[in-house]
Amino acid sequence: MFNTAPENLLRIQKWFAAAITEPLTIDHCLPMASSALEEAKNYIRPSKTLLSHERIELYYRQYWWRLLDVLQENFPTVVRLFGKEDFNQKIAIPYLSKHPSTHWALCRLGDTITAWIKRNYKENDREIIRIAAEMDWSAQIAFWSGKRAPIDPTSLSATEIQELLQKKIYLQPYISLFAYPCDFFSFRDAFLKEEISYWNSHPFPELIEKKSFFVVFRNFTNQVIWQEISESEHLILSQIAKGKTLSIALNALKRKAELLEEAMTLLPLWFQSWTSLGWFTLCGADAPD
Amino acid sequence: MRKNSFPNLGIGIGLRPAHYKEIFELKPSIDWFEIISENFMVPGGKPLEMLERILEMYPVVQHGVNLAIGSPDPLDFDYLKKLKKLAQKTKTPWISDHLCWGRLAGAHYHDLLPLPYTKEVIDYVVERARIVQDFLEIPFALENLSSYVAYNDDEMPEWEFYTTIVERADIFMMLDVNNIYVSSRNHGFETQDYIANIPFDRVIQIHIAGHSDHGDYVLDTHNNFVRDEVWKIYAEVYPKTGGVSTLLEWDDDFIPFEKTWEEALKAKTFQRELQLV
Repeated sequence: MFNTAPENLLRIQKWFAAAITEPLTIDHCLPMASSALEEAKNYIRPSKTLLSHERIELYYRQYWWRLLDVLQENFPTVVRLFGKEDFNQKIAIPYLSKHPSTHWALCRLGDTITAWIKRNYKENDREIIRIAAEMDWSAQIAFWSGKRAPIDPTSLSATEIQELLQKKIYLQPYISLFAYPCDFFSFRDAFLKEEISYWNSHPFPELIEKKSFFVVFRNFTNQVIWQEISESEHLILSQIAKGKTLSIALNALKRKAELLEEAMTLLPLWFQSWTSLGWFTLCGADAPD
Repeated sequence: MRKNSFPNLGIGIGLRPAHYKEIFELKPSIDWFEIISENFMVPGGKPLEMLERILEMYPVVQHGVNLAIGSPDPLDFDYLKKLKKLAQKTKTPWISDHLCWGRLAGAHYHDLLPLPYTKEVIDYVVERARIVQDFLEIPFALENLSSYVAYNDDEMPEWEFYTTIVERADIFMMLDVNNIYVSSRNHGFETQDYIANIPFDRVIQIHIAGHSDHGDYVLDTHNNFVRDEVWKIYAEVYPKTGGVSTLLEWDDDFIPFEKTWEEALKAKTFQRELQLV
């Protein structure tokens, strides 16, 4: 039987947690309306140089600065679109206020930020902000995701390869697929070449409009990269990502005759390329990493 | 009988990505590296590749920041399993984390928050520390915090709280001498009182680091050279331990690796003095 926290300890911790997670103000001092200001003396002793509430404010600032730094680092495209201060005020602080971290790993801090932006950010630029967050997060996932045992067709007999068509296969967890109305990944590359402050006084990179399909993945040297793929490739890989068999994925192409024709010609080459990169695995999402 | 009969690994530095390039190019003759465990408790990718390269060349010791042992939430055994799995990979001779709290009702604050120094908190933490060490099946040490608040509820000085927990749980001390200095300034105690009242045979490792002096308060920022006041504490503490592994933490405003290593090597001066004694 594990012990439970003493009541006095829990009382202090509840107060402390509520105080440090008050939304960060512009002057980085506890909000004037915060009850923590008045209550601080009930919990914290003043020092010779600091009042009770000034001492808890050190933790309040530390809490916010650390988490804002992490989000700025993990969402480099979004930060460049806003600038640091606006990113904090419009995205990071409201997001963290509603979604405090629920995992010990700081790298997972932004795992629901894209969904949050979709639901809560209502400005005219919301679509590009959402896409930027989605791209940044996919790069994060690709950086630290595990690699599951890849399917190696060279070790399979012709019969086993045929059987593979009917089996559920999965994409590696470090692969993400995207379909965008513009070439956002070239835009992102150009954006990331310069520091955040550079974009405060320079025009953003050109965003070329064209229907584009992308895959983000980690290569053999563990570098996170992206490449443009065709609509047919995207359609097949998306079906597999949804848990469909390769056979069902190919059937989905039948809805678009021109895609089916291309796929029938190029599929062996694509499949060879995908498997040589180790993109497919028989281990599903619930498999241990 | 001494409790800390562990190998003295010499002088190490905290492994940080800012230094990877120089480490792999220069292959410096550093004694060992300390890693932040959580940075490598990921399923795969670049972080683990870097760790494996380091493990081929250097001994590695694990130091954690997210156990949050004094939190009211139950111990997170999923976290502990991952920590133990990483320890099997690194072959760390011990694992350390902090005497603090940082979780509440499922929320993580990602900070080392101070505990009130009370008898009931001692009872609470002692049991949890025992469980952690038993589960990990490896020596476990808690680090003294640098803290910026003192509670009205405090019933004893920090050193008494720290010592009692470590002795009753039969675990070890990861003694941060910079934290002793930072807390002494923030709370107005004498570092001599701290040093005179801890069981040095429980000290398994020492941390040294730089801090930021804001006049009215001092912050443990790990972004600067070790101050003379802290070296002075180290000089006094190190011989009392009989010689334990020493680690320089540098986590922000990075300087080139060679300069960081030079700073850590200053500790050698005090180790030579001990050998002379």
